[in-house]
Amino acid sequence: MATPVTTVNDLLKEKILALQDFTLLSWRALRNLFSHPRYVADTFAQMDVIGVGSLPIVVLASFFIGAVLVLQTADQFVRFGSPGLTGDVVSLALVREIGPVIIALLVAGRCSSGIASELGSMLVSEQIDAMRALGTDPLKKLVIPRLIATVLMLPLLTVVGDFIGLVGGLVVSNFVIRLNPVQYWTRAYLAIEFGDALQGLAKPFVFGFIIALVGCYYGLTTRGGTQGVGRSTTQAVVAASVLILVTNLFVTKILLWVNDLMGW
Amino acid sequence: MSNSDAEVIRFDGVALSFGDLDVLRHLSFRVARGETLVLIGATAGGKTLTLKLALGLLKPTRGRIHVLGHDITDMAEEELFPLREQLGIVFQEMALFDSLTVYENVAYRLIEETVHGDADFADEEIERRVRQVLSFVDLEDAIWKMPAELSGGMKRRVAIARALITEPPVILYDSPTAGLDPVTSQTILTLIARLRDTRQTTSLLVTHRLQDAFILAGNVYDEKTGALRPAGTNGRFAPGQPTRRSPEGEGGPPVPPTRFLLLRDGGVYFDGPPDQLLAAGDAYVQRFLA
Repeated sequence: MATPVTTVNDLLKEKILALQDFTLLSWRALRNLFSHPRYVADTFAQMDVIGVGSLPIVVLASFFIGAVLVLQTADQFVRFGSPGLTGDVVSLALVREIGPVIIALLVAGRCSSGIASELGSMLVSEQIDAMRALGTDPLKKLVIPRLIATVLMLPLLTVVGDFIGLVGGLVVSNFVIRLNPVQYWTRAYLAIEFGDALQGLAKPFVFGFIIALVGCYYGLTTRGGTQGVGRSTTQAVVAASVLILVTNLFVTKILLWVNDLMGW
Repeated sequence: MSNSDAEVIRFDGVALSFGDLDVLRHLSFRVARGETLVLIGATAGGKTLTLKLALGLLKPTRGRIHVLGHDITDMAEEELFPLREQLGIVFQEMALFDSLTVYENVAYRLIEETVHGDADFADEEIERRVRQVLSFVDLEDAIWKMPAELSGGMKRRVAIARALITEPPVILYDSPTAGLDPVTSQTILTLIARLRDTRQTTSLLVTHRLQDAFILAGNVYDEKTGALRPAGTNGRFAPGQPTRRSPEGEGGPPVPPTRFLLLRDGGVYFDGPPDQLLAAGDAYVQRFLA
C-alpha cells in the first residue's frame, strides 16, 4: 500500500534517476561531439531551423525589450539631470544580462519544445527503434546535430538580439526623451568593455547546451503516446527555462570572478 | 556446415521484465538458416519484444541471445550496428520516417553507409537500387511520395523495401499483414514467400493471423506466374484442405522449412512444424487454432 513515505521515496528515486539519465545523455553527447560519423547536412538543417527560424521572434522581442528598458530607466536619469546615461544602462543591461537570458528563454520556448516533440513523436511511432535497427545511432544522428546547431546559433542570435535591442532603445530615447541618437549610440557603445562582451557571449554558449540537451532528453524519454509527447514538450520548456535561470546565477558569478581576476 | 553456421538466431533461457512485470520468463528457441519461424501467441505475450531482443534493441533481464554466431547479450550499441546491417526488420506500425520521402526511406541504409564511410554510393547508384527494390514490391510509382500519402498496404511494402535494400540474409516481420484487407495481405504474403524462395532469406515472423502462417507454410512462390502455388505434400504437411494440395502431389515443389513457436506465459508452449501443430490435441493449442 502506498504510504506518504513510500510515495515521497518513489518520487525522489524517480527524480534522481531522471537526473542520472540526463547526465548520462549529456556525457555521451559531449564525448561523441566530434566523433565519426558526422551528420554535417543534418547539422546545417538544424542550424537553419534553430538559428534562422528563431531570428524573427528574437528580433521582434529584442526591439521591444530595448525600447521598454529606455522607457523604464530614462525617467530616473532625466530626474537626476543625466539622460545621456540611458545608453550606458540599456547597453550594459542588454549585453550582460537581459539579452542572453531573455533570448535563451525565447529560444528554449521555441526549440526545446520543438526538439522534445519531434524526438518524442519519433520515439512513440517507433522511428527511433527503426533508426537503431537500420544501424544508426540516434545520439549521433539526432542529438549531436541539434546540440551543435543550438550552441553555435544561440550566441549569434544573442549578438543580433543585443544590437536590435539597442536600436529599439535608440528609437524610444529619440522620440520620448528627445535624446540625441549619436549621444545614445556613442555612450551605449563605449559602455561595453571586453568583460561585458565576454559575459554576453559565454552565457548563450552555456544556455545552448541546456536548450538542446533538455529538449533531446525529454523527447527521448517520452512515455505514453501522443499525450506523452505533449507532456514531454511542456516539461522540456519548463525544465530548460528554470535551468537557464538557475545556471545564469552561477555562470554570472563565475564570469564576474574571472573578470576580476583578469582585470577585464 | 557446422551447427553454429546453420543457426541464425538462438535464444537460451531468455527472460525480460519491466519492473514487476515479467513479460518473458524462460524463452529458448533456434532459427536455422533458410528457415521461417512463425511466432504466435496471445496479445501482449512478448512476441514483438522477442523481435526487438533479437535485434539488440532491448537487453534481456536473464539468458543469452546469439545472432549470426555472435553473443549479442552484452554487446554495446556501437558493436551491434554492423550486425544489424545483416538483419532487416518490418515493424508492425511500419515506423517509416514520416518527414522523409519513400525514396529517402528506402535509400536510408545506403545513405547511412555513405555517411559512415563504409561505402561510397553515387546518387545514381542509390536511385537505381531504390527503384529496383521498389519495383520488387511493385511500388515504383510511389518513389517521390511522402509516407502520409500512402495506404496501409503501400506503407507495409515500403517498409519491406527499406528492409530489403541491402539484401540482408535475415528478415524479421512484426505482424506484416495486421490491419490489411485480404487482397493486400495476399500481396504481402506473396512478397514474403518470394523473398524466402528466391533469395533463401531466413525469416522470423510474428503474426496474429494463423491462416497467413499456414499459407506461407503450405505454398511456394511461382516465378512464372508471380503468385503462390501449393507446395508438394511430401508426406509432411498438408494444410487440411484437399483443394490446396499441389497438383504435382508428392512430386511438387518442396515444402518450405517452416516451424511454429507458440508462446504462453513468457515461455515456449509449442515448438514444431505446422503439421504437428495441427495434430496437437492440446486444449490451449486447439483454442488458438479455432
